This record gives sequence, C-alpha cells and structure tokens, in this order.
Amino acid sequence: MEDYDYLFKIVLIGNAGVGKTCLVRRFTQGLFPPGQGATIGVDFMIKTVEIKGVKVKLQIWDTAGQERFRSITQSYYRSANALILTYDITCEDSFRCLPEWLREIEQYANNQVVTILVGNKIDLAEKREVHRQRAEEFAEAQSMLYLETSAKESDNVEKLFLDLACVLIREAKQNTLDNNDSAPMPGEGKNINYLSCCNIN
Amino acid sequence: SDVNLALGLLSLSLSLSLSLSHTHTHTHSFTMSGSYTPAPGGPFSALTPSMWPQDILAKYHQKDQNLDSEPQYDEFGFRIDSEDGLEACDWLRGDGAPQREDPQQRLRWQAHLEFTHNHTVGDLTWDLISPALPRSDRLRSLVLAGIPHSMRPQLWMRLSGALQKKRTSDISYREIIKNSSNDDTTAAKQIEKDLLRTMPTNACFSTLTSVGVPRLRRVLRGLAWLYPDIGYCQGTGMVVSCLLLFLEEEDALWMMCALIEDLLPPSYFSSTLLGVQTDQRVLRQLIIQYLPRLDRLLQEHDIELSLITLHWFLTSFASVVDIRVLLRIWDLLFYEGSIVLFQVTLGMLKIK
Repeated sequence: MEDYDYLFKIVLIGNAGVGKTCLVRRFTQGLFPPGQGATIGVDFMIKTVEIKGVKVKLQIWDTAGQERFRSITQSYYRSANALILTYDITCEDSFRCLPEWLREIEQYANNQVVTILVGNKIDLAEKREVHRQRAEEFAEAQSMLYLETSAKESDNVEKLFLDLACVLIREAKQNTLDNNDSAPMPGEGKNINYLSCCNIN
Repeated sequence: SDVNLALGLLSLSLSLSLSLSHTHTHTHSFTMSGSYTPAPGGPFSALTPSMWPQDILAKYHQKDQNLDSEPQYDEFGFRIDSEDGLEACDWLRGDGAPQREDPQQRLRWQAHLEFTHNHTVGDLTWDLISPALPRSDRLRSLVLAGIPHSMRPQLWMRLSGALQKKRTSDISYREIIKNSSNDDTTAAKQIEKDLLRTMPTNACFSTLTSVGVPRLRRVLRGLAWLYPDIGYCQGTGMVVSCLLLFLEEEDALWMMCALIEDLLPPSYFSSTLLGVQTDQRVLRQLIIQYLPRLDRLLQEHDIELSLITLHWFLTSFASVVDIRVLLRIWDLLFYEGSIVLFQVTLGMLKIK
C-alpha cells in the first residue's frame, strides 16, 4: 500500500531559459542554483504534499525547452494531469511563442489536462517586457489559469504547485462522482473552492 | 644493451623537447610577460596556460592577503565547496589520479612515438610527429592505459583526426570566426543565454569576463555556422567548455568537427537528434543482451532508461562524471569513437 491518496503527473513546458528547472528545484528542494544548466531531454522529481489531510504525490516532469528536444518531450504530455506552461516576463520572445506551445498541447496532451500559464522571473521587475494584464487576458482567452512567480525569491512557487494539486483533487473527485456515485469518497461533500483552498502565502 | 641505451637517450631527448611547452618550473612567479603561473599540482595547474585566470593567480601571489575568505579551486579551476567534497573524491586525487603523470607511462608513450617516427634524427618535437598516428594494438593499449596529462592536447588532436582536419581545411579558423560573428542569429541568441550556465562552478566560465566565456561563444557560433543543419544544440556547450580547459580554442573547434563528422554517428546533434535517439534504442537492446537482470528490473518498474542516458550520450559524459574520470573516457573516445559511450554506459549500469 503506497502512502498517498492521489498521484498526479505535472509536466513543465516552455521556451529554453525561462526557469522551468529552477521552479521545480525551488519547490522540491528549496534551492535556487545560480547557473542551472540547460535541461537535456527530460528530468523528473517527486514531492508528496498534504492538503487538508489528503496526501498528494506530485510527479513533476521537467522538459528541455530547446525546439530540437520536442520530439522527445512530446511523448510525456499524453499522460499528464496538468501542464505548467512557463514563459519569462523579461523576455517577449518567450511570450510570443505561447501560441506555438498551445498547438503542441492541443496535439499531444489529453483533453482533460489542466493547463496553467506561469510568468516567471518577477524578481527582475525592472526588466519586465510582458505586462501582467496582457498575460492575464491571454490566459483567460485560452481558459488557462495564470500566476506570476519568482523561483529566485520563492514567490508563488509553493502556491503554484499546491493550487494545481487542489484543482486536480477537485477534478479527480468529480470524475469519481461521475463514474460511481454510489461510493462517495471520504471527505467528499466538503466544497473545495477553486484555487482558494490553500492559501499558503 | 646498446639498443636500450640508445632508446634511453632518445627518450630523454624526446622528453626534454616534448615537455618544453608544458613544464612550468616557476612557482607563484611573476614572469617577464607579466603573467602568473600556478603552483605545480595547485589550483589551475592542469589547465592549458592561456586559460589560467590571472586575476585569481594574482591574489594568490599577494601572500599578505587573507585567502581564507576566497573560494578554493582545484587544479581544473572548479570551485571546491567544502572539506566534505574534497574527502569524497580522495580516490580521484591520489597518486593514481588520471591527471597525475606516471613517469613510466610517459616513457612508454615517448618510446612508442620514437619508434613510429624512426626516420628523424635528433630531437623529436611535436611538429615532427605525424598528424594522424597509425592505428595499432600497441597504440590501443597505450590509450587504454591512459594518456599522460601534459601530452593530452597534442595526442587528442592526433588520435581523433582533428589535426588532420585543421591542416587540410579549405577554410581557416579566422574565417570561420569572422563569418559567424553576427549577434542577431537565432543560434547566437540561444548561445548567449547558455554561456554562463554551461560550467558555472569553474573559474574560467563563471562570469561574462571569465577567460573561457568569449572562447566558448566563438567556438559555439563557429560550429553553428559550419553546420547549418545542426545550428546550436544545447549540450554541446558542455563538451566545448571541457575541451577548452585543455586545448586552445581553434583546436577545440577542430576536435568538435572530428566528433561531429567522424567519431559519433550522423545526426547526433541535428534538429531531429535522430542519431542520439537511435543510440538510446541500441543501448536498450544491448542491455537485454548484456545485463538481463537490469533489463527485467527496468521492465518491471516501467522505467524509460533514455530519460537518464540521453544526456550521457549527447554530452559524451561531460557534466555527467567528474572531470578526472571524463579525461580517461575521452582518451578512449577520441581513439575508438562512439562505441566507447556504450561500453562506459554498460559498465556504469553494471556497477550500480
């Protein structure tokens, strides 16, 4: 018997150098290694968190951003429960590539997948090239959640993963209900508010 | 015994001439040219002289300064983080360490070079040694036993075919650099982002003003221009930066050409990564054949091995193993080519 109630697979995608690996390392190890090397292919880490007494095991897949690695990383989208689409708020190019990434998601990910758009590097506010409002509007138009983070300062990093976990728990419960309404889950019936159940910060 | 004596004398003369450019007898000395020299076996001592970080060596030279607060570096220029890190690697730093020169092994190499160049009278110097060494069982066994560190730059160039390329190329290094100096290409922009995250713990690559960084930029841009079907592939920077620790930048570029064109299968770094992906499938088959227990374990737990090994193959183990181990793997790689990557991988998986 494994020691968790839920297992979710989360995949980070986005251009090279936007900070995907740093977000993962900040969340899983509490580290911000300066000069983090480019990810080659795919890497993964595991962290188990507890949310209101529910143990959730997060399997976090970190992918290479460079285009030539895409044929390798695509095969990891299919079984993902959530995708964290990351761009760098100080790099307009990384924002402009988002439609391209959405096409990848459309093509390779499961249609139930939860996608969250993340603007990273808010510690470099003076270098910002993408306004928050613009990103929010884009995310809303694509029915994605949106969050701005700093892996360096640890801003919103816990919140990112824990909020995602909450959404995924809620969806999993909904699916269980839809499929088998005669066997309610323990704790079910308590309404988990969308993106508000875990106010960490 | 006359023959032995003659051989001994020849070896001695060879030893003197071959070691001329690699022996630095001054300790912490300030030379006429205004440059500092690392202490033998001390920080930076295993690097090619043009990579010695003069700013840091200057600090060592000023003995009145308190060095306790300064970061410590090993002979390759990597920052030593703690005493623990030092102790953990004891076996790599002892007398048998790959960068320590075994005088016997050095003599064996010298004798071999002498025997295979027996027309020369008098001093045998590197420029008299042919750019491509004839392959033989003897040469193979010498490579297997290890290349003396001070001979690596010259021998890597000759074993890999890089020196042949350098000498016969239609285009000069200077022209390659000139043609690839545009800042605005996609490759140049990607390279720029990766320069400081390629070898951040090494003093030669840690800041934009570090001695290795402009070289890394030029070599990577040069490669992207030479091979448009490859452009810039993340991962090659790790290979180039390791080469740059020991070779001049032009030689590092020709070594990369030998790797890309001859030593590794086609399309290793190209936009499809077809070659390196194919090798992962080949590896999986080899594991079924040579490590059946590991094969069953991987199947049982549904583990995709290429998640781990793609990186190993793409960077030829640079940034995977300790630099001291890497040197020995590369001695073999540059002589035997890509089969060495499989042999080392199977060996490492067997140990684990």
